[in-house]
Amino acid sequence: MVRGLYITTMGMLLDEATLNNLANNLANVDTAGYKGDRLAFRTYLEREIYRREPHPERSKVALRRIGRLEMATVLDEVRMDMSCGKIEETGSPYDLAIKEDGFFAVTDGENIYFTRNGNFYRDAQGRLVTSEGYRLLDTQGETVVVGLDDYIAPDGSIRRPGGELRSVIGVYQFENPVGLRKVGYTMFATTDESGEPALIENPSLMVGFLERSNVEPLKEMVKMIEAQRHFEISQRVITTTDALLDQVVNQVGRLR
Amino acid sequence: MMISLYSSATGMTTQQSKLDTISNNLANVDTTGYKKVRAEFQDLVYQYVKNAGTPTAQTSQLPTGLYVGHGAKLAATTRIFTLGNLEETGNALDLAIAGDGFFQIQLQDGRIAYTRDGAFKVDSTGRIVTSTGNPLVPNIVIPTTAVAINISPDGIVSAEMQDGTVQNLGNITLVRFVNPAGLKGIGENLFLATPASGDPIEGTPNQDGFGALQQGFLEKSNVDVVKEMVGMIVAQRAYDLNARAIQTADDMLRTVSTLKR
Repeated sequence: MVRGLYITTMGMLLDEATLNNLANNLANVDTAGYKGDRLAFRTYLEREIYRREPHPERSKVALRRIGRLEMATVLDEVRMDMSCGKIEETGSPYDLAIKEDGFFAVTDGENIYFTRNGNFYRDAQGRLVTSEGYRLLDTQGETVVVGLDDYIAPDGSIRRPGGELRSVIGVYQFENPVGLRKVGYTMFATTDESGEPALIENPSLMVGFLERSNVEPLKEMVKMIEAQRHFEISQRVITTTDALLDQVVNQVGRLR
Repeated sequence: MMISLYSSATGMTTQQSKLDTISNNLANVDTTGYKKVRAEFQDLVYQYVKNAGTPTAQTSQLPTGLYVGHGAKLAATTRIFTLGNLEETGNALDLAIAGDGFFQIQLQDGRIAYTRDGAFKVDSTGRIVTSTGNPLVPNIVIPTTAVAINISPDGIVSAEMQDGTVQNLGNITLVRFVNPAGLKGIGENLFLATPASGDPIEGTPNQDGFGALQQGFLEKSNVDVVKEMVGMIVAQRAYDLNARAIQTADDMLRTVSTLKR
């Protein structure tokens, strides 16, 4: 009976984790290039349940397996949803959206990160940078520089007014993009799981567009209802267990 | 207590700043030469409980990590320098730049500010000045005997005198910036150069990528009312959603506090 208290508590902790996760998703419902997170739960401490039966031989009992009981549930993983967000027209000449799979590579000079947030600015040196100042890299791994009158073509190439090619914006893909690690500021870092970045040969960019967040408010609201109601039901289980214990302690054991 | 309380609060704060920029854009929907501002957001750092790729045994590793995010923040407010609509006014001293470039204006303290608001006037000494009386650079003085003023697309200012002769008064030059979004707005449609914008590059209108001057026209604000309204809807709904998450967290905490009767 007391065991039920702990199992229910673990379930309630998961509801809290769900709410924390969806609060972060909802806070980023308007963040360009943001990828929502999903939670996955796993049962834990599975226990076999046996029934004691009289054994044919005297003074012995046989144990017969009648099933399993899961004693706990835990948060197993947080998985990014890599689906494409909504594409919004902004009209800014340095806003880039990647049409299909792929990531831009940006650097602070030390580390290289990957992002789908194509909200770039041209700094005083003409380099394309993110709002945090991370510089966009081209296919050669060099900083992308856009001159005063240069333009960006949908294939990612930067051309001078005459059409002369300056450089091509690097768009990279991963074998397992879900394995990338979120580092904040809508940037991702590579991990052993994600694999190494591979250059996409003919990327397709939309210039003057931004990929917004892929968070679906409806789904998050449904999950919020689910978490809250489950939390309330679990609370009822705990109070019921408590009431039963109360009876055990205060009535069954009462001496008259 | 619960992280969701705080991360939702950051979501509400960011949407508030979005609404602030939208309100300012809408307030300036009819301001000559106004350039709209857009608020951009980013997610905050993540707290990692388990990292993806952590070995779980000799030959296996975690396929994905376990982490929790902390909400969003305002990353930047960017000014968008797209061209506004040109409106014909017929006023000889109204100038619009059809393309890239800024007028140079001398402030009271001697600094040079930049603007795309070409609604110029003439002050008592005949100088071409802005609506607030700051003179245009290079200084152009219009003689009192002039009957008509002509400004060519490449910036040559000439006056037709009472006696029918035409007098050249000077050239209006424009400046460009490598990164106009880095300019600092100081109000009154004026901008100052910053290290982020780069140094001004001076040039002649209608040449080398500079826009042509159009006399008798004004550049209106580039605020798109429909887009701002849609942005307002998004801001309000996102605000609601985050508030709901806070409320839910609150409800859950109340549930917890009633566990023990």
